[in-house]
Amino acid sequence: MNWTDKLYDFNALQEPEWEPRGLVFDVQRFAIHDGGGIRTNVFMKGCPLDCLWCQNPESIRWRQDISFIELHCIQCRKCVEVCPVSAIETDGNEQRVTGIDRKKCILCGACFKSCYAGAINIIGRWLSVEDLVAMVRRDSDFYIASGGGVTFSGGEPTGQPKFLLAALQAMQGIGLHTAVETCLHIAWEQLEPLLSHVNLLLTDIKHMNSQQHSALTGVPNDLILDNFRKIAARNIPVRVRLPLISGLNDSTQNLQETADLVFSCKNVKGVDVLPYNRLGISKCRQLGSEYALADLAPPSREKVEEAARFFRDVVDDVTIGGA
Amino acid sequence: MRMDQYLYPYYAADKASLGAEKVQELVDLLWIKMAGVNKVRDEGSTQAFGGYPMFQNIIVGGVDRHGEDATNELSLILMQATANTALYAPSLSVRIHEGTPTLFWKKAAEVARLGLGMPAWYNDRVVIPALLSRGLTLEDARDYGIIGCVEPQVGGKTEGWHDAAFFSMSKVLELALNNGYDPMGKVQLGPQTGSVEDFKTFEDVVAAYQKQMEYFVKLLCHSDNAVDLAHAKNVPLPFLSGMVEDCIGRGKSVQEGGAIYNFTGPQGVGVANVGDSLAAIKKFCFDEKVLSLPELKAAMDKDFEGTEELRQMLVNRAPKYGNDDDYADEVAVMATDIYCAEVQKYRNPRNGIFQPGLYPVSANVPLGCVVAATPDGRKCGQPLADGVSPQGGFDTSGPTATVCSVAKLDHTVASNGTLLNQKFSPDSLAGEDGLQKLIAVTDTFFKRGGFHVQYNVISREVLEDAQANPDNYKGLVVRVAGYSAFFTVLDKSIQNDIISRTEQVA
Repeated sequence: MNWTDKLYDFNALQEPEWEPRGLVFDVQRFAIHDGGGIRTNVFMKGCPLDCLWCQNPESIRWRQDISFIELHCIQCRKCVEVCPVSAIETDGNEQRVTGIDRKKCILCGACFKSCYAGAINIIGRWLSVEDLVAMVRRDSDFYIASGGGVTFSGGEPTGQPKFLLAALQAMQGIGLHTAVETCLHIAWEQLEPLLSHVNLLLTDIKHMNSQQHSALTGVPNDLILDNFRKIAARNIPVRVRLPLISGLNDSTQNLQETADLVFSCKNVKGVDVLPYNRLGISKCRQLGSEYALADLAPPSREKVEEAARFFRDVVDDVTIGGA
Repeated sequence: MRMDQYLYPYYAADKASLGAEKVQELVDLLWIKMAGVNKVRDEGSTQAFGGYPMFQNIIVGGVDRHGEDATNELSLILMQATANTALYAPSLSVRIHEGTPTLFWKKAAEVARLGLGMPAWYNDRVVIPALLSRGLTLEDARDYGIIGCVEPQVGGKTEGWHDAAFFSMSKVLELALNNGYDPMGKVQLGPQTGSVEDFKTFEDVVAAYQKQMEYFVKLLCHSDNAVDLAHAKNVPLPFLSGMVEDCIGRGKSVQEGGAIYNFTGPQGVGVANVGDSLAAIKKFCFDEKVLSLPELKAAMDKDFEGTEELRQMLVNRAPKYGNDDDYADEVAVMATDIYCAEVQKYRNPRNGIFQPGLYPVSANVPLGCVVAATPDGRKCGQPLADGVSPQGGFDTSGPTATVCSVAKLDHTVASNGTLLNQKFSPDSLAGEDGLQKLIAVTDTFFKRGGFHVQYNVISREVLEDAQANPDNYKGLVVRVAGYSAFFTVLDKSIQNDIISRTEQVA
């Protein structure tokens, strides 16, 4: 079982009856910056945050999405023929397919099934834990040889707690190192049962000021920081990730406060400074949505180094881009 | 050959008086000297041997004649010389076995990370049994070096004729789908093995491929043997023969069978193309029956003119060799086994045997020129896949999946050598952790039965080419930031960001 098997398994488009079921939008082998060693990343759908700079906008909604990559379209117009609700947008003369009207689209997948060029995709497949284990265990030898394992990312993996718990247990059951990348915006009662099956948490600290955090991500940071400190008290290994967004969270004050927080929590094994990138722009276009930071430039190398220095003072392992 | 072994006594005697720095300098100078030699080739050969390869292949490490680790200080010094000189010659290879020291692994990985495409890595666990199965003594098999690209042999005792042919497996499949008729040359080239209308099952297709393979491998081996006899009669090599055991003892030149070990090694080219083509036929024409074989053939005859949709289906919806997809990989293994099994039936006039290899040098490009459109969606005249590597653009599941696929082939039977090219982006190999990842991929590939691998680190030039020709680079994964992505689906501005960053890293 590979991810590509599910990608074109049209049955996996329908939400099944059975539990635990997971809505996953990618399973990426040879992920090498998300928890150490060679890993497989499981990208889960849905996120309670809506960060302005989101590089995986296809992950945000708790249900499936449809994307259109114009570059891949060969203008065969099959999608226009098969769409039952006339949701395929064409230019004025109806010559060229230009996009999808999300208001009309019912996510039936008919266009995706007939799009051999791979221009239209439904984002998200329903997986069982058994399927996921079958995919992930294919690279077990590489994890062992490199000190890697499996990383659940997203989206927000803890947003599907039943599936995540079962998946983590199953992965640990076959001896794999487990990492979970989480925004920590989740009720402690839901988070807590997961923690005993996690070897490493990857956690974003996006802004220390709650008001600012709200403006940038749509939610205040109180719950996040509260969870962060509880995890520190449990001494669960954490890597802190700081998305560095010019003008939004790179002030000296914010960096210093974040560094102070890291210093006060001895469970923090390292810090990854993740410079802002514009991956979200083309993805938003493919999803037919607006991207909030269209004009923002990635930070210069010097700026990134400067930010990293705040953390080098408080923890040994600081990377730019993740580890 | 094994320079760290035969030069070691001299190094050991002189190292104290010369000092480490002088030793390194002498080796570096030797490397520069070797890169200064060139050979004038004819036009066909310049295409099949792209660049200016002299094939002076220096190998270090591995086991000695008694099976013990042979690594010494000189092994590391020779690797360092390649790093210092950063030239394309001489070729540097390393041998890996169960007991290869960590220090050796790391040094080899450090040199690989420089992006020179060297060293080439060889697996003692496969090469030694492969040579044993071809009649070498255990001691000789353990003492192998590499000649040419990837061909193992024991130096001073072998006349291997390793580049005896580049044989297009893809052409054989084309003839099987055309009842022996060559659509490019417009001539009946092979036997009539049935037309596509006659094939009722996938097994019928494979049977036709098998029959064409038998016919053309027989032609190949007879032609090789005729050339072999002509060489012996008309162009004997007395000087070379004087260096090869037991030419003087037997009173024969190497061409007459004077060497202890005699082989003829023709290369099969197009493993991925034949595998992907047969997998597409199996899936669409027989398993799912969404397409008839004559329909597919008609589209191929027109080079997919007017049937781009069908071509996209072949490209994007059929399983592809190189992604650890058992469906595609099993077909590729089967199609390759048929080639290898045929080749090893034959003997040469030097009282030796034929042994198959699976490497192309750069012959996959000219061989692709004479193959029309193929069922994997490849268009007429496009290059074939190189060696046992997946077809460029179809390897979309990353390097671990690729090496899992490639290791499923029987590398022991392809004892004339197999070749895997694997790409990495510079950031994936950065730091101490990066070295460990490179080692982990290589080690796992070898434990699963891989023969050879070499790594390319993606350069700025490659990324620029990928921006201009996205179809050839569908599988190229780059690190954007906290996320990796396929390079070709990225917005141009992001591609430019990554291109400029690559320059800084590399």
